[in-house]
Amino acid sequence: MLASLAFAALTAFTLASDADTTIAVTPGTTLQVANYAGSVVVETWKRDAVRIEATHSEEDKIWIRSMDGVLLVKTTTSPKAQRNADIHITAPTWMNLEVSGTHTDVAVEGTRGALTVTTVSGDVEVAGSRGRAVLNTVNHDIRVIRGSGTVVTESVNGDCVLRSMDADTVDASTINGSVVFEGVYRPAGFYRLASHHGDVAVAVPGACNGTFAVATFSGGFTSAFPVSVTGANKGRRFQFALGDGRARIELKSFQGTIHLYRAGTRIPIQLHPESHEGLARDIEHFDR
Amino acid sequence: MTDRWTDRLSDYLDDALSTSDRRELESHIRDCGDCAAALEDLRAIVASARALAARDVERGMETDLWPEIEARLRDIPVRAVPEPVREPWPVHRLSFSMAQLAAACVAVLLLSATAVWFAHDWGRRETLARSAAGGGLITAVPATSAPAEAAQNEIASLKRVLDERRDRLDPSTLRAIEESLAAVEAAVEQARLALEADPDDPYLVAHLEEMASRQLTLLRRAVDLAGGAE
Repeated sequence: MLASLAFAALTAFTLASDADTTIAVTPGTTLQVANYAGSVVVETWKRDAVRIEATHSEEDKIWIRSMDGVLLVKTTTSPKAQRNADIHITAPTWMNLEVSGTHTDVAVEGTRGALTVTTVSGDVEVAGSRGRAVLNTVNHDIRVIRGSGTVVTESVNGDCVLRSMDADTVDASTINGSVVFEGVYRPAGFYRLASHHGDVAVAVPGACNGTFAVATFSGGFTSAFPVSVTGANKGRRFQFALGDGRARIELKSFQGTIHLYRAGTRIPIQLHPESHEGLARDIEHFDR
Repeated sequence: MTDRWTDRLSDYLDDALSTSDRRELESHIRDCGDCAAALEDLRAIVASARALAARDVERGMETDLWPEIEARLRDIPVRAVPEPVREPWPVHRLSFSMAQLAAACVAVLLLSATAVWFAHDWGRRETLARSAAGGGLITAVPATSAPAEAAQNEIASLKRVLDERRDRLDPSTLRAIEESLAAVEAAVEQARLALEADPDDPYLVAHLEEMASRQLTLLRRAVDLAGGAE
């Protein structure tokens, strides 16, 4: 089924299983997607319209509702039914997105608006975000490719892997996982990469202008290239600068090892297997 | 009220300022009542943290690994790099600020709320709290009004609500939440023990604050998943 609906006239309706619906939206509208279990994939296009393709059980419903500048797409199911719904959305690049779920994998590509993702047991994959992206999962991994603007990632038991980044501000933290960062350090940029139990691995490009602040409690530090410590504070903290030192890079791991490695070389730490597989899949998918 | 020295007071106490910066800050403090008061508050916080009851430190935490890290650093070939152009850090950096130290102290209070704390007369002490505006402003609040106590109560309340509503969560969600809460609580405890062993370390202060914040956030989220607050 393919239907086009005027957003202004829209109040609320439900989608049948295997539905394919396109809804016109006005600039400034925020898209909220709530899916308890399954997946949410968001791609972008230049049209001022939102296309929603959904695959779900006949027993569940997907509500679509508009109010106060928000287009809401929400799955209603019994949490104990353990049924998945897969929602594929194509949205305008300018659209602000808020995606939430519990047992939900989320993938978003190419958004320029603000992006918020919150899930519990699900992977989060984002490619090419340009606005402020705040990504949160509890038990799985977060992978970001070609993110710019501001990127905030937070996991408890998963890895945070950020590659080909060109962001002004990055705050990536996890408790039991590892953090990997590869990308450009922009002048006056700020990058905080932190783990409690896990390692932190940071790629350093040949031309790097940043001041690195390293802190650990009982972890280690390795570097694939020479560094000259310019400030050793009390405790297990020290700083060093590369180039003009303009970017600020904070590397912290309570118990893990902090690695500096040359950009373009192999990541020096072992990630969750899914992180590798997912990343490879993402690159293939998103770079098409 | 804040100025360009406010975020450097902890560095001053940590003896991490250059000689010229130190002189300049000391001169500034003589003329700036706000900074002088904030410095005194910070000194009180540090002193109070030192007064924490000593606890057995987990095996492995007693070993000071810094010499080893330092040795590794020495083993790395050193080359000269230009002195960095010192520009003010972005205002959103997450360590060493007065507000964060203050909030971390609140977390310490919260997590160590035992008779030991009260024996050290925390009830009459003033502590600092991060302003809602994002950490830039400092507000003195009496500990007896107890943001720490409020946070402690909130954690206890959230745990109670979550326990009451366990059956509203499907087993896999409940398992995921409980495993994650256990991981965060373990991290909080490790950070707290580490801070007890080294109360002057700003990294540990900030880390404990972060872990405590993560615990609260996760609990709130878990309760939301279980049906929200009533």
